[in-house]
Amino acid sequence: MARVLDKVIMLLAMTKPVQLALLMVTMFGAYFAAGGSLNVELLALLFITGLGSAGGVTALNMYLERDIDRVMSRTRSRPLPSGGLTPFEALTGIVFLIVIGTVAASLINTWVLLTTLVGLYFDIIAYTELFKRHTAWALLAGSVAGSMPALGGWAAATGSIDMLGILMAGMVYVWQPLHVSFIHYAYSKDFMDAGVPTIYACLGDRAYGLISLASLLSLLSLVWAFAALAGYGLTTGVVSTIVGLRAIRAVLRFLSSPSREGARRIVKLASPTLGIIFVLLPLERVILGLVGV
Amino acid sequence: MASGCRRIDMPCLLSAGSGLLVLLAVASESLYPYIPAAVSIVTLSVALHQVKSSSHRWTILVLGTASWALSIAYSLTGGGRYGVLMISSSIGLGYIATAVAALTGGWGAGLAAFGAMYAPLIVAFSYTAEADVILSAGYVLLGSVLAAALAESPYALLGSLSIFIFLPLGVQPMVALSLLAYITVLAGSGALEWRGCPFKLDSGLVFMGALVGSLGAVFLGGEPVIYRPALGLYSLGLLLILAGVLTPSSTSHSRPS
Repeated sequence: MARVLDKVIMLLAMTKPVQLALLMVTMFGAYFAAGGSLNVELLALLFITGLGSAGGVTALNMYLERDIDRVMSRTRSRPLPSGGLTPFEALTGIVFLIVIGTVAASLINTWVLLTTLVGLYFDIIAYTELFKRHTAWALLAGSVAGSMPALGGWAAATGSIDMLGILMAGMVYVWQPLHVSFIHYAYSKDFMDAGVPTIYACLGDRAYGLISLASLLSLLSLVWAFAALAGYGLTTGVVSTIVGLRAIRAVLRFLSSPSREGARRIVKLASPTLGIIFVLLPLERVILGLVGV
Repeated sequence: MASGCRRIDMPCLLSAGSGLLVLLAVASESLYPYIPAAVSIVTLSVALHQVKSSSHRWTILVLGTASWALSIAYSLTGGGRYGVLMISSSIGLGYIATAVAALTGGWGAGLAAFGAMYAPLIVAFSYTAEADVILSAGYVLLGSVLAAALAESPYALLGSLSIFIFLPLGVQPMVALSLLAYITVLAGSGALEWRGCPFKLDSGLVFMGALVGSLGAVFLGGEPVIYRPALGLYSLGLLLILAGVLTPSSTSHSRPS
């Protein structure tokens, strides 16, 4: 029994709980920002959708990359390369997770189901299988998958996909290259050993700085575009701009003298920006709803 | 040719041959009832070929035959009051045979057996013409499963995916799509032969995809209230099969751009 429990814990570790929690924040953030109600049944279904689909797809990604994980020191201790789980055990658990996620999504509405399937397609087939081992720009495909929980959350609340939902998903999309390229930058030797191309390896130090700059500027532009179109989000825009500008200043410093410490500082300052947006926007919406605006 | 890629082998040619037979048969409606049986027999032969290393080959054969007998009995009698029992027993025995094959002969054997055991269901529904959607879904899955079973060669897709041609039997408007798929597979296989293949098959993933997809396909023929979850499972199954077919080769074969 304890052995089975260990296996389950290892399977859950394959869903990358921290990353999953962030994706959940974007999903529920988008849901409430769209005016989603406190319907317990719907919220439970949305939670299962996120856990099953986003978590399951992340774990499936890890299953498919076990050969790379075995080579890289950063990932060598993961359940599959370390032998904690056999590929069969992992795959069985992963498919179970994805199946319950898909069924839960389908019980919400067709749009949520579509976002889970699109997420799987872009993360597994486009990013992991077709692009990652061949081009450093694979992250542009992978980022589509990362933005799907936000779009799914929006679709769960509104029953459709509209421009505001796409803008929210877009915020997650433009933020991800900053995060992923930092990992590539910080562990570039590992990736090189594994034969995975990175932007840093292809274009040099400054590429990370330029990507971070583009990510941050795009993110802030999307927040303001959202505020302009939705009629709420002014506070979110102001706060995220203040936080974002600090990160931009760190980027400019990095561009003048690139260093690993500088890169770490960028990601440390930039990471809260997305979190702030996905917490403040729904709060603003709820407060506006309470005061009847 | 890149390593990990193999030339078309005998089981693949058999499968391609059955696909071409189907193409001919589609032109002649009178041959319709014989097509599923013919392809199922080819599939079963491949399954038995694959499990030749298994010590439980006879167990698999007996279970498979029992499964077939039940499905054919269902076809001949129309099921009657025992219809559900006959079909569910047939499927159940088929899955047990699949599990035995997978456990004793490895994934390749399990997949081949799965393809073969799925066939009775298709045969049964073909003769009674009950569920178009199940029929067409079944053929798509059968083709994909067979692809993985056939020596794990990407080129096996050439023959196996030709079973997409079966789609018109279930859903007439899909004739054009099926032909398009066939032509695409032919062209794609030619390109792979020329350029080398960067993919390998993940039998486990294809198997799981086929399992999930077939579950969805069966539910698709059920109550309208479960249509969306069934459609979700069916789509998920197809995506997993595709993911299993496109699994990247080891990084030693890839070159950063």
